[in-house]
Amino acid sequence: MASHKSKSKTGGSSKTSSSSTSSATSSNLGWSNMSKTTEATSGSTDHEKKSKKSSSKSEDAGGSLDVLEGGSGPDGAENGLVYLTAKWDPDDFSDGDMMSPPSPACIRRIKNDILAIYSDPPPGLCVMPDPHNITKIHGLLTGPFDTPYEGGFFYFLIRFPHDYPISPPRVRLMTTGNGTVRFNPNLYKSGKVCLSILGTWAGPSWSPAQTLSTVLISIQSLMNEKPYHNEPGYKHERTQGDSKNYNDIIMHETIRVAVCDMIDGTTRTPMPDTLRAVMESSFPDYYRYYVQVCESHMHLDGQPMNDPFGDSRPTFNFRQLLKWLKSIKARLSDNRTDESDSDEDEAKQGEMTKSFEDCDDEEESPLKKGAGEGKNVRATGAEGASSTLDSSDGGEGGGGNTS
Amino acid sequence: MGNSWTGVATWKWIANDDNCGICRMAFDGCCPDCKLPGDDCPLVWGQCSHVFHMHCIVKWLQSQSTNSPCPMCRQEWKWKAG
Amino acid sequence: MIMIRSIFLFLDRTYVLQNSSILSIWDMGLDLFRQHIISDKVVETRTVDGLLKLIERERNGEAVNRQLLKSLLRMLSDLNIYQTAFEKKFLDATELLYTAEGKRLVQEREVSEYLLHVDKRLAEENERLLLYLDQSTRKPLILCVEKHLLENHLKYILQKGLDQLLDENRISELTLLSNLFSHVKDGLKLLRQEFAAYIKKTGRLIVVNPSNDAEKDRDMVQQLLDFKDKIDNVIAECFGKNEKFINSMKESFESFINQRQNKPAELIAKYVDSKLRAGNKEATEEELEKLLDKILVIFRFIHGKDVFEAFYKKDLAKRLLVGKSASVDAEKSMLSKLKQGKDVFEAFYKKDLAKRLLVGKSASVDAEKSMLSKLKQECGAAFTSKLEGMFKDMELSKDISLAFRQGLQGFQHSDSIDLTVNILTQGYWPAYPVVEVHLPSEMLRFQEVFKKFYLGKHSGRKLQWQPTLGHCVLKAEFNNFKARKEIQVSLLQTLCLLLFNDMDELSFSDIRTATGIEDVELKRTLQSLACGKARVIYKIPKGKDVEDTDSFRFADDFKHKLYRIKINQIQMKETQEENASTTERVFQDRQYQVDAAVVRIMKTRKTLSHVLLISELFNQLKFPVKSPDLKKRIESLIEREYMERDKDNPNLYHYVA
Repeated sequence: MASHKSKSKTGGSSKTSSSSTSSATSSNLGWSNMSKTTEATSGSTDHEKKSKKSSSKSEDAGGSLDVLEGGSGPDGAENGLVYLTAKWDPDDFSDGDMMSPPSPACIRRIKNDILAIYSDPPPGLCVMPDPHNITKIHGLLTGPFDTPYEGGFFYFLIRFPHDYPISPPRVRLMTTGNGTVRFNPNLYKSGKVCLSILGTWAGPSWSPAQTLSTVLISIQSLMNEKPYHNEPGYKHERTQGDSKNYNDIIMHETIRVAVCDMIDGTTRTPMPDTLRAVMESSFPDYYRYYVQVCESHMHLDGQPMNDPFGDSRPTFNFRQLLKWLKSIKARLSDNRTDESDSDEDEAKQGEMTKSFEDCDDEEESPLKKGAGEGKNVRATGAEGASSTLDSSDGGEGGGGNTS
Repeated sequence: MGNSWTGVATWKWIANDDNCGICRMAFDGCCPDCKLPGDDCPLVWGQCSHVFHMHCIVKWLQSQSTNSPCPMCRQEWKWKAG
Repeated sequence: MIMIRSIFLFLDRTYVLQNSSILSIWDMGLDLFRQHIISDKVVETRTVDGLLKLIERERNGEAVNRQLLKSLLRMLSDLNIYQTAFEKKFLDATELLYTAEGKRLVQEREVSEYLLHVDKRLAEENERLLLYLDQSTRKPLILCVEKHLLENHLKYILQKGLDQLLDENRISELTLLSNLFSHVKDGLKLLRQEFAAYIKKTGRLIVVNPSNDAEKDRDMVQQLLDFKDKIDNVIAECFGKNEKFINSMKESFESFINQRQNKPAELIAKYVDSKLRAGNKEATEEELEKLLDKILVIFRFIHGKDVFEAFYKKDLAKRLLVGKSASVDAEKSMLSKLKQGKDVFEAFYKKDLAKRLLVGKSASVDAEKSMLSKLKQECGAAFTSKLEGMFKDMELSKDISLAFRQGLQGFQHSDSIDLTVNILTQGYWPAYPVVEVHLPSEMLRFQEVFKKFYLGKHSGRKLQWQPTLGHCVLKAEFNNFKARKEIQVSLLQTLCLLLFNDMDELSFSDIRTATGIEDVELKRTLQSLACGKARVIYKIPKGKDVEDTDSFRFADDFKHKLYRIKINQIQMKETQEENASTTERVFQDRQYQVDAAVVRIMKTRKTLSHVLLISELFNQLKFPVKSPDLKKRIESLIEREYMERDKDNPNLYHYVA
């Protein structure tokens, strides 16, 4: 969707790291051997940083229990340049667009947009209006098949201005590992979504014929097979293998941030229970895929992620991801059944009981969730610690790999 | 003959779409700011053949400072003479 | 004793006053009296027994010496032994008496008689309290009476007699009942429950009509109105307009009126139609206004909510998301077409309003508009906007026709057709099927001229003529041009009649070819002209029904005492079909909802027994459904492979992903 810009952004990228590091430090929690990435390596180049990181082992496994409020990186910092000045942040109330009450026409149009999605749901996206404010929409996109985003859960916050559809909605990606992960040349750490129809990118601009559905589908189409080429000036690979390398990074980060951290992370973004339930019920369907990705990429473990755009990234650690995935799976099926035998039995059991659990009153679920969560925090903590020890000798035996 | 005849006819807009592309309301009805369709809330046609509630397209055109594209096809909006 | 005191007055005043340890003569006297006379077991028992016996006799209706009772009881009080020696025994005796009496009479007597008796007993006891009992006995005594005559029999009394009292509208007894019950614990609560049960039971009888008896349905709304009046009156007169009773009444009405789907809404719409048609003939404007208000109250009980609001509140998102893809089809239809009671009402109301407006049958535009504004208050502006649009259309049509006629002046013969056109905004009116007929060339020309005129003023529109809705006033001459009449007929009738200007006799197929009217419609039309009250054409051969082989001849010898004659279209059958299709549509929309709910439940439960599925459905569906209907929907879903039966247990369903 985003049209290609002539202007190259490479130069700006490394600058970013310094500004976003501080928030990054605290946000990688629960992911002990990754979180060291961040400790004040600010001025250094990406390469240095990454090598440093891989050697310096983590100290702050305990930090994983901290809970953060979702701060965001500064607007436009990602590429050091602000291309278009359109307001994009749905939480930004500094201007009248958001402050004045929405007109009845605006509300009717929003309802219309929502109903259109309900009555003809485009694949891989669901939305729900905020119970208190219909101009605020919570959206969940799942990463499209056959892309490095496959199986990821991307949570967006959308706000409609009072004169919608004359002005475009404002959209923010909430799934950013707390402002640390840039998922796409057009999806910034700050949550900014660069899309011409939103006025945050060059190209065909907003038109009142667009709808909530077309906006979300446009965003979905940013998550394509080779996101590397989304970056202006990167139509052709700068270095051979860049695109593949970028995909590996995105795959890793998708499972780490858009799956595990979204479902299980201690930093998890507050989001409506309904959407959370959608993630949790979709997780088992994707589980095999996640496992397969981790297993087929384990050879990368320990290597730094060389971001072709110079972003700071942690080190590959698919083994760790696998462990995390397992613990989530165990917790989710634990919530449903108390016994867990073999993996397969467990899966079936989980399916069966889950279906019954789902029908229970919604009031019950937070309790269960709470219980599961507590358990899980312990589990990750322990695993984190052990893996820190293990990883130095390269292999992780034990339960992790057997399945 | 001096007979009288009370005929009945129904009217609807000649539009190639059911809904206004801007407000998404049916052309059978009116734009969200109006109460009754018909003369109070007329439809207008562009040279690109796209149709909107007059109130909707006017709102859009007024919001555009420089160019004024048709919301559907992005061609410059030109009113089609009635 | 007074004498003794007088004799020893001096002693009392001088000596006793100075010695606080010695009681006054009076007190000492009392003391001595108590010690030596009354405290004597025999005396005490005899006195008290005597008292009780006297009271019992009085309770049994004998006249007794009340003065004696009073003196004796005063004495006991003065002696400070009223409580110990008398009251307890008295209350015991009272309890014994009324327990037995309550048990016996509540069985023997009619409830109203019994209530009167209880009331009488209470009055008597109160009188007793005034006349000779000590005031301190009031509370325990009254409690005792109420407990044994009422409290122990509340349910029995209500079950035995409330329905009858309400049926017979026995205001005074009901008032008494509510008064008495208000004094005892749980009395009003029980009364309210039984009252609600009565409303539901009686209301259901009015509303439910298993055999779909048309006669019964015709009276339903009137009966509901009468019933509501009666209940309102009871609440006002007997229950002191108690808020809780009013609420129970509302709940009960809501409950029974929704026991039958669609029909009440439909009948209310029809009822309004009949009242608005009749208008001033039956009632003054004020009466009509009041009646409409009352109907609205009944209407209010019918379920129905704005689609979006209802869903938004119920967390539509939640259900849709969890049931992602499988039920999309069903959900889709459900969302766009959710229909509830009020929509049924609207559909029928609209249809009737259209007829009234187009045929000019409405009694008064004021009454129509007043009804509209009431509906608007009731259901919100969105509900009535289309109905208002219909009125607007009629007003605009007048202006357009006027302008058209003015434009024609000058180049038109005076005896030409006087054309008025009602231009309807398609989206607002009921959908009318497009019917093509052949108009005589003159009419066709007029129609074209008007079309040009209209489209010249309103570009971008498409005009569709609706021949079935038009009507004409024809000037006809009978008896060899001697008798002039004005005949008011529909456009289709007109087309048939005009043919006889050129020919005296025509066959059915001639008319069929010339007018282009479709067979069924044409038969109905000819029937109205040749077989009705005013027969302007003859059918050959004679008979009630029109056959393909019939011929028709102009009735030149037609006679009628009036100058202006209206020949009605025969509409019975059409109306039935219309009704059926209107309800059918609503019902179909509901099928989608049922389907969606079944799929949703099965998707989450995966496996479920028939019984559990049905009971979940009853919980989830917001409109009344019958379980055979649900069964049909389940069968259909099994056919469409949304779910399957268990191989071993046919009462167990599995979800098919």
